[in-house]
Amino acid sequence: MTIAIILIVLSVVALLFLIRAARGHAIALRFGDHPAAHIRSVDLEAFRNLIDPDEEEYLKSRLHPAKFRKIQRERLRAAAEYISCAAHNAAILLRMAEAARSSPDPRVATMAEKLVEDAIRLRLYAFQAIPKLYIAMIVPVQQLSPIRVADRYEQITRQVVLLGLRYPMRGISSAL
Amino acid sequence: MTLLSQIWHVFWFTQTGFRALLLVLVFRRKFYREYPVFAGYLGWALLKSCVLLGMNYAPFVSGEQYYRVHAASSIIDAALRWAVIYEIFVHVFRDYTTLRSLGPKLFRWSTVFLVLTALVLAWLAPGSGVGRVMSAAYATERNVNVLLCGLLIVLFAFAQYFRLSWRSQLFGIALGLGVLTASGLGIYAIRSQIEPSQRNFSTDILNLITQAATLCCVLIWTAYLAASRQKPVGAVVPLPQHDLEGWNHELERLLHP
Repeated sequence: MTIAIILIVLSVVALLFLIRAARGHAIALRFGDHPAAHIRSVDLEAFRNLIDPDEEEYLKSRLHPAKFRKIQRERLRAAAEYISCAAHNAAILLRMAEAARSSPDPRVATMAEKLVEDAIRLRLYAFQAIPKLYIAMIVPVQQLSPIRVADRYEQITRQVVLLGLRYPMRGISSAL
Repeated sequence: MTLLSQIWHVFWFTQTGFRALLLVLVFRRKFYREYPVFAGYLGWALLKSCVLLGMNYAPFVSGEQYYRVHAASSIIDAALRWAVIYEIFVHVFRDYTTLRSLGPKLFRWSTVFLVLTALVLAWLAPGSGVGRVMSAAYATERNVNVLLCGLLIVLFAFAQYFRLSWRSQLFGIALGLGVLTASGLGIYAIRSQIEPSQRNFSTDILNLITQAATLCCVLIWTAYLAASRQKPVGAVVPLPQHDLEGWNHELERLLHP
């Protein structure tokens, strides 16, 4: 009977999840708010510094092991925060680029297509990197370097600027 | 005939009528070209509904014969629903080069994991109602719904994480199937445990909820397919006027970051 109760609860949760998805879909149809207001600031230089293996080696050689572990945990937490912000911004760019994909101008459509693919790739990297960073906070592992996230984010920032020349990005390019 | 039973029959006739309407819609708008498996499933579900309706009222058909046909058609039904979900997976991911190969892989591995979960469930919680045969049948239906509902949840969660855009009709198909399988999971989880040997008030209520969920699913499909558009859903932004100042500003940013 316990399993039956668990399954009933799961089915109610699944129904609620579907209702939420349907509401989200309806909101996506309208998409009336100002997307630039939702962009989170990402300092790429600071992020690169946080995930730089040389920097990590330097700190390791200079600090007491206990102190290094404490600082390294904070660095990893900050890196995870940066990646989560980059992934959040990529989601907003995805929505904008999806709309630009159907532009009658083939150059806009191609640029938007590229932006969509790169934003998805960034979210894919983020999906893999964030759990690894949190695990590394608990279990120290060999160097973790989510450099691909930083490179991809830099790339999509450029793409947004270029797309903004031909398509209204509603202030997103300056907000990035 | 009790009031609940009367409502149940009304729901049955209504959903059969809507299925027929839906099938006409699918053929008139040529959705069958894009979603052949779904169109096939709709045709099959309509045929099944009509045959079972006929058998329900035919005086020469026994209860046992009716349940045999019902059980056999449920197996085909489950297989077709699974194929429809695969079709949805393919459609959702096909517009994204990065994810195109990931879609079928995700479907395959999710199916393997959920089939194993369903097998464990069958072992841990077999049907235990007084009506042995029906309890076992409902336990099987419950396990099938674990698989189908799980696949749809994986799909929705994945699409939500990657902010993938859905064509309206595709979203409607997935949502309708989701409502059907999620409610089926709960209902069959109850029935597999408490199914009595004779029909009673609780079985009437559960039959009614099952029929209502099916009707709800058919209505969702009808609404989404009737109001659908071909382009993916996303932000609709008007094309810009030539804004030279904006261009200059962005170029400056590009050249001197």
